[in-house]
Amino acid sequence: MKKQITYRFLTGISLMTLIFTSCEADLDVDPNDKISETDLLNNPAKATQLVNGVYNKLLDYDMNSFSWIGITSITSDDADKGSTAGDSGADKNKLDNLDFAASDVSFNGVWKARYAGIGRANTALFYLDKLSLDPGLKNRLIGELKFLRAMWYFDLVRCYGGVPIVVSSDVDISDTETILNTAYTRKSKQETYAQIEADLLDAIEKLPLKSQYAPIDMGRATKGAAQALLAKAYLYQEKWQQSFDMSGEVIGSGQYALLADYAQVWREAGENGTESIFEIQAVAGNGITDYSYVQEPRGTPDLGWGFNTPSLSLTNSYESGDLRKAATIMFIPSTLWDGFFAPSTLNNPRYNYKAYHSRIAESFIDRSQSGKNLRVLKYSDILLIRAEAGFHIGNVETLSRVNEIRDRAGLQPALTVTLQSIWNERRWEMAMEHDRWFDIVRTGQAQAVMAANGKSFIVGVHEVFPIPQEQITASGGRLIQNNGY
Amino acid sequence: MKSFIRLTVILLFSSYFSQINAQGISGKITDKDNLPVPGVNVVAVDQNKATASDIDGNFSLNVSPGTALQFSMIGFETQTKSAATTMQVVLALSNKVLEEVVVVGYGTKKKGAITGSVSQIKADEIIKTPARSAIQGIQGKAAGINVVTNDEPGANPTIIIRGLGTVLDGREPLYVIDGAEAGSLNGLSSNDIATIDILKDAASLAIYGQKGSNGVILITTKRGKKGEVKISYDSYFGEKHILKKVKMADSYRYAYYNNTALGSSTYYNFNQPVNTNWLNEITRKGEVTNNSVSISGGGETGTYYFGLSHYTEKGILIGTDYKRSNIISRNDYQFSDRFKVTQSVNVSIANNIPKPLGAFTSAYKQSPIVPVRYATGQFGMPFVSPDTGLNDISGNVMNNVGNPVAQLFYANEKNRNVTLFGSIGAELEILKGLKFNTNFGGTADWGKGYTFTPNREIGLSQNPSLTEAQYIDINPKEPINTLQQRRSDFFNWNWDNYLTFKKAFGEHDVTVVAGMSRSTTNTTEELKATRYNVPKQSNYWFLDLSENNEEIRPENAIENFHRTPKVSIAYFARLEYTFMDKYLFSGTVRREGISVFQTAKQWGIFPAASVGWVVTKENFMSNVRFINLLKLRGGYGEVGNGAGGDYNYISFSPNNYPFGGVSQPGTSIDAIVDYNLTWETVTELDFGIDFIFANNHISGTVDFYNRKSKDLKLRVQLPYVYSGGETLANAGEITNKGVEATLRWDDTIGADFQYYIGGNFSHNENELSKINNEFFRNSTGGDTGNGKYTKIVKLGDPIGSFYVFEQIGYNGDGAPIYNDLVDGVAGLTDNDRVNAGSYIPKYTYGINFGINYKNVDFSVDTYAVGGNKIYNGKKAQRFGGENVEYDILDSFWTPSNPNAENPKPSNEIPQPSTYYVEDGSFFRINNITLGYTFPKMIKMVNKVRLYVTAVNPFIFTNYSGYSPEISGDDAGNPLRRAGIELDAYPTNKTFLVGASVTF
Repeated sequence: MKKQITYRFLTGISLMTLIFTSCEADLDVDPNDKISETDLLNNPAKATQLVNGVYNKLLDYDMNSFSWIGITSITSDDADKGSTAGDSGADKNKLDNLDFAASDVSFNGVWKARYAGIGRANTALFYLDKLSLDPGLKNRLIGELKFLRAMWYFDLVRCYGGVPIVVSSDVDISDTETILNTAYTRKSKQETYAQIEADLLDAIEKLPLKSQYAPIDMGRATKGAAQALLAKAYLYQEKWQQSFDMSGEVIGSGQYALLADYAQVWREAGENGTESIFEIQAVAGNGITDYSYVQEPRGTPDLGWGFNTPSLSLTNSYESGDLRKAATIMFIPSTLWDGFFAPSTLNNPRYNYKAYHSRIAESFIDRSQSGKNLRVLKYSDILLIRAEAGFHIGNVETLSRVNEIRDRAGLQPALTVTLQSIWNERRWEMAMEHDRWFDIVRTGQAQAVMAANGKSFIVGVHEVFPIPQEQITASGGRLIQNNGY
Repeated sequence: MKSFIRLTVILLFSSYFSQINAQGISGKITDKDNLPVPGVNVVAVDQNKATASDIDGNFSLNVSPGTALQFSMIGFETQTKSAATTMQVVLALSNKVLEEVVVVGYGTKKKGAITGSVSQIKADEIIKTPARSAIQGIQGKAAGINVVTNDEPGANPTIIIRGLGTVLDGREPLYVIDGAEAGSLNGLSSNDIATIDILKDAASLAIYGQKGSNGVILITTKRGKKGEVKISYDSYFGEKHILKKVKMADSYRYAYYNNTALGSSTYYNFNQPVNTNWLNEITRKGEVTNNSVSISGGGETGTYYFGLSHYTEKGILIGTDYKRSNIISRNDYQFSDRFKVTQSVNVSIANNIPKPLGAFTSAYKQSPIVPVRYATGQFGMPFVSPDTGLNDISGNVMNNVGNPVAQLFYANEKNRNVTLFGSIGAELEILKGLKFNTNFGGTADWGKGYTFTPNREIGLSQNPSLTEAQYIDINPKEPINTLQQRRSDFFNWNWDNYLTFKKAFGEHDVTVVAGMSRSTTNTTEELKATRYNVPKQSNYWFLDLSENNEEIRPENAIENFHRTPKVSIAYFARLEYTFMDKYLFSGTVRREGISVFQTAKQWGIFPAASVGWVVTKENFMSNVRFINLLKLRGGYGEVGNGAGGDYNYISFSPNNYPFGGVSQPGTSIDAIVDYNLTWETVTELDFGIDFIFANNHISGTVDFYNRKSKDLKLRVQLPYVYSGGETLANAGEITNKGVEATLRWDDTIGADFQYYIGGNFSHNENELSKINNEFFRNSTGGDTGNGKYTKIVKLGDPIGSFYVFEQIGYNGDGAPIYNDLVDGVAGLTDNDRVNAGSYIPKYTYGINFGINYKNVDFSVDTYAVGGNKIYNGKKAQRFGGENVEYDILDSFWTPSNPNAENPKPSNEIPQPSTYYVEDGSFFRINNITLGYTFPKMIKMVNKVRLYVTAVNPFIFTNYSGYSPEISGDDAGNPLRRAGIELDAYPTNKTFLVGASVTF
């Protein structure tokens, strides 16, 4: 009997021991839903994907859509808020009237998206460093990332002035103090531009020409794109000679030319054409979220939200016979280029034709993700930068560059140029392309042209937008607000 | 004391005893101390004769000796004796309540020995509320348990035990069905449940480790009993109606209001030929039926229970339909005295046709001047003619609201779930007093479903002025229709092994349980595929029949993902010690590891201890006869929440970008990851009193608790340049403090009349009591679908607090003005939002009442909540041109009525404000049941009971909307629409008749 009890007891104990010690290793579970860091680092093919993932940020709603449209275009004399009177678009009425404040959401959207983009670029640079890659590819990818990072800092410095500069993603999450200080201490405007220049100079070194890319890589940053952006950054800093020279590099590269038909520049047919230097790539279904939708006509039939409508001031500014007017402004009612009839039951008299994406003649899946590419840098922009910079260094190459533009616009060649005539040409050529506000601020025209539009531009304040209140709060007071806000 | 009781008893019964006659047999009834027991029911079994004992315990009855007499009285054991001319009956005190078995983790316990806080609900209470989920039947029956009804067919009620202790982690309690761990009661028929035990305090929950913090609900299904075969049949049929409707403006009022908003007198014609009541157009009388059969029985070697049931529900929203069939089989095999095996399998097949709940919001907003359909058969659409001011398809757009009837008409979705769960367990007695138990439980679920969207028909219906050809011209790329097919499955399992050692040494009783548990959950895999242009007949809704698959979004064409499984390993032990049945102690510890955290943060230890003192067992209490039981208990425990988190690791998500016109793979990190992330831990102090007074008439329980959810997981936002998304971090603490009380009075009057009245009350204070992360930024939530949010998670406030602007009056133009100086700075910003209360009730209570008179039973259950707010989201989600409530027209701002209740009609999107926050308290009659049990007429039939029940027949509330019970989306997520009435399914009232028969 005793033996039997002992036997049973031992059976029980051994059974339990067996079960107890079986499976602690089971806690090491391999993820099923997303790729882990280890698996990424073991796969060099992921390097290109990491960089593509940075480009992907360009498609975000906050990056180039409603907020960006609001603060770069609706603010300016080229565009009105549009849409219906009752729909403020959160803060677009305030942007239109120049009575905006730090808490308005558009400023935060634009800030967030760009810093998140810069963050992605920094992270990708961090991992590229750890991956064993073909040095040529690695160089090119680093060049692409630096171009993107510079482009975002350029947007930030134009909007807010000097901003915090972060160029590394390596961070200890528990070191709160360092994180806050790095992310929220503003640098001067000069320091910000210095960072942009450094990134672009490196990118120019590393990037191939547009023609050196395979067709499947169309849309990646090129040497020309980096040069064009640098020429523009120099222009904003009034480094005229450097801007003149750098734009000359682009022109002399032989990679670019004007399209014959101005109207084609913003249509699907003109995407990535000879005039294109850098544009944000979209295909139907994987597009720039709501970019077209926000601006397409509102009413019956309802194609979009109807914001950012060309102003009367822009409409009346064109010289007669300027082909760019009809290519820029969609007049209601009218039959559109694709045969669609835009009837008078639409809410607004004019819409941004450049944002219109045809459902009939262009690739289309849904309204939110249209196939419309956003032109960021184009050859005509460079010609005008060359002309403006040339004007400042002694009126070099100005008339010829302006007339190249005028000729394509169906206008008679100009006989003389003034600074104002170059600016006007720039307004018409680049209308509704997110540069007008920065141009009138940069050239000191802002107060006058906005006053002509019945809006009061406060000198000493409105040259830069307010730092978003949400960011100031998050910074614990480290971010210093711009003057006047 | 004694004399006081006697006096009370005399007063209570004196009128009754005067009628006692004195023929036949007689006798005296006493208790064991030889004291007379008055008021005992004496019933002659098989004869229609009865009496009760008088004040001295004497009784007499006109029956012949030898007749079987039954003696019953609350608080005493019922006795049957054969009649004699002079009888001496000694009744034994009943400790039935204390002897009842309560299920605790990995074992059972007698109720009298419990040191924690446990609520038990029995089968008859559960089936009284005919609902798909048994949880609905708990509402109002147990203190500390807040159940939020969700009447949408196929939906689950939300359940919160002792306050919300988490923001982001799992909120659902753990369900353990006969030892199988489950995430819900889906698939289990209420008819097959024997008892539901709810563990509430951390001391009781600690043995469930990371799964326990939201409470554990232990379900015991019915099992067979040794003896004859028992067959039960239950059936009911019921009708459902909307409990409370909101009266909307008619066409005239609509025109009046909107003209005023537009500053016109002709935009809308005041004489409208159409006056559509949209709510009536989308709703109908709902129907619910249930039929259940069970066969049970058993012999020496085992018992069996087999149940079949079929539940159908047609919702009040037209087109909604839910059907579920269940088969359950539970067998116990007794191989020897020392070895038995228990097995149960439940299969459920549920078919559900949901319809978009947005139709309720559309019905609320769509104008009554829009007809349901035009004479052409086309759906009415919101266009108004500028010439006539009448609805006209060639007119201008009036609003952005769809036709709710069309919305239902074009929604084609169907889902089917087959759920199989079961457990198999064995118990082996190794030595006397030492048992080994092993139990494996698993749930397998297969889901399939489709959604068919007739895009072109919808588009065409929205543009009724266009011919099909014209519409296609404008929208050449739009597919004719879209078909999505979905498949999903999961298999979750747990395997528990434990030893139980039980020994009594004199007056010492010791029970030790030790074991381990291993589980895998979060195993869902989903596969979805979408294609365009299948034939429109539903028999062809399969992807291969698509005629066009060229331009669908590549990432949507086929989607397939598998969650990262969550593995947990735990070791647990419990020591229970009882001395003289009077001093009780229980201590548990669980050490658990869970795979979701980084290796160094995987393991946690959850200790608990509780003590009890049965005061009435002390000698000094033996003379206090008024108090039958007094028990004090107290406990402390720690328990984890590992239910919500996914695997915490740096991960890369696909983020494509098109180069060269082709979408190309890209990837990026979603957010920086905090590798220090670990468990949320709930610590709780609980103090309770259980009592039974006044000859067992009054019983009750009071509990006080203070629970803190430490290391609360919150989303924090690092600067965007470091993290594009939010990071999970242990960033705070929630405190829930509360008191719960339950009280019940049971009594009989005479032989035939028994009654009870019971109530429970719970009060809970919830607060986000600590934030310890600089990157936490008051998470916002409660999106109302118009670009506005309504909730903020803020230090010092209850979770689920509405943060909105304070409306302080109207300006000279009748527009609302808000207090913009809350932050001390002029100008309305988000910093000016004020806390307008939380949707989570501060207190809930229920009162239950029941009587049995002869063969008639009658009961009423009520439920009430208070201290909660509802955000009237459907009212706040206005863009312009929509309908308004009828009453608004009675008082709105005009220059001559500047202090009206409502602002001037306006088409502006309203600010989220206190204007839309309403008191959400309510008192509701949850259930009225009247039943009749037929006397035994046929030998074969044991019992036939017919009943009628009204579920939720009346509600008393100040809330102006359809229902103050809003569980919201995402299973009651506090940051989503919980407490916001928007696209919400109105609460129903149900009237039903039923029968239960046992053979």
